[in-house]
Amino acid sequence: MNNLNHILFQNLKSFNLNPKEPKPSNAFYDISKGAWISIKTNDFLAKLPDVERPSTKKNDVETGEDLKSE
Amino acid sequence: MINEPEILILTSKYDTSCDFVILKLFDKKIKYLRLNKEDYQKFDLTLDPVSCVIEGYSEKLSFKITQDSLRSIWYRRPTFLREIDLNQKDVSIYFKKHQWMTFTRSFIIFEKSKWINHPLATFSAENKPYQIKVASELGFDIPKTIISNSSSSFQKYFKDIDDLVVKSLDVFHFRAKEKEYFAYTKIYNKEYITNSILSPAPVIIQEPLLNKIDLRVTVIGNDAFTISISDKGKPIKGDWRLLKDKAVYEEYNLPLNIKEKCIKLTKKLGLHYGAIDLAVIENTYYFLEINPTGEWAWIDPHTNFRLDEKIADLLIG
Repeated sequence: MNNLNHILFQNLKSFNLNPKEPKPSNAFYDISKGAWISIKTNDFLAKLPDVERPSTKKNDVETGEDLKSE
Repeated sequence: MINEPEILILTSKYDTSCDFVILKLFDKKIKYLRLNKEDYQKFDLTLDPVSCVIEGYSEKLSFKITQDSLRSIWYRRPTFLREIDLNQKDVSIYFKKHQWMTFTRSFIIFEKSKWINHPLATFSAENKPYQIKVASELGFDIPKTIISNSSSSFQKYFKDIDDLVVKSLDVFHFRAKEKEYFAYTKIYNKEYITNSILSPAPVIIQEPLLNKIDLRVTVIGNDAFTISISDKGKPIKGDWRLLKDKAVYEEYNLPLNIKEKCIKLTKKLGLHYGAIDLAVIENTYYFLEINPTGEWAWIDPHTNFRLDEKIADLLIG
C-alpha cells in the first residue's frame, strides 16, 4: 500500500485484522466488579499466573487492543 | 449500586491491564467504578454539570458519582478521535463514537480529583516536539531531531551523518481492506531520504543512536522503575518492539540524576504517570520519548516492581 508515495508508506507493517472482539479466552466480563472473571476458577482472571498481558500498542494489534487510536 | 465511588476508571472493556490494578483495589476494599466505552449505551445516563453529579442506571449496575467522594480518576481513553478505520462508511457509527468520546472528556468537571492522567495534559504531552523541548530544558541529552516535509531542507542539520532515523510525527496506524497497518521507526541512508517524497506530510528525522541499549522508565507518582531491553544482552538496532518475545527485559539501575530528571519531566508535563523511552550509550542517557498512556502490565512478570500495586496506591492517594 503506497497511496501517497510518502516515505512512511514504504515500510508499513501489516497484520490481518481480527474480526472477532478481542475478549480474553475462557472468561466473562463482570460489570459490577469491573473485571474479567475466569470461567474455570470463577475468580479474577488477573489472578491466573499465565494470563496474557498487553504489551505495546503496536504489539497488541493481533488482539485488536489499540486504545490510543480509538 | 456503586454509590459515590472513590476511584473512577474510564477505559475499554478490553483494556485488560486495568484488571491487575482493579484486583488490588478490590482486595483493599476500595470503592471503585469502572466505566467502559462499550457499556455506556447499556446505562440510562445523566450528567449535571453544575452539581457535578453523574448517574447511571442499568439492570446489572447502577452508580452515582459525586465530586465530594471522587478521589482519583484513571483516564485510559484517547484525548481526541483518530479516525483509523478507512473501511468505515457508516456515519452513525462515527457519530456515536464522536459524541461518546466527548461525553468521556466531560468527566473533567471533576476538577478536584487526581487525574492519572488529565486529558489536557496528555494531549500536550503526546506532542513529540513539545516533549523533546521540555526534556531538553530539563537537561536530557537529545539526539539531533528535526521535523520536516522537505527532502532537501533537513540536510543542513545532519551534515556529517550518513544514516538517519525516520519516524512518524504522530502514531501512524490505520485499518483498510481487512488489514491493519503500522509505521515503525526505520533507519535510512541520507541519500535515500533525499530521493524520497516527504512533502505530503512531515516526519521526524533524527540522528541514529548506534549500539544503544534501550531503556523503559515507568514513572508512577514520585518514583520511577527502569528496565533494559536487549537482544540477549546486545543492542537492538531500530525499533525494539519488532523483536516482541525475543527481547530480554531486566531490571536496570538508573543513575539517580537521570531518574530524577524522568520524574521531573513527568511532573513538568502535568502527568502523574509516564512511560519514558531512553537509550544509553557508554553512560550517556538519551531521551527518546514519553508516552502518557504507555502500557506497563507487560513489565511486572520480568521484575519485582509490582507496578499494579504502585498504580493502585497512586490512585488511592
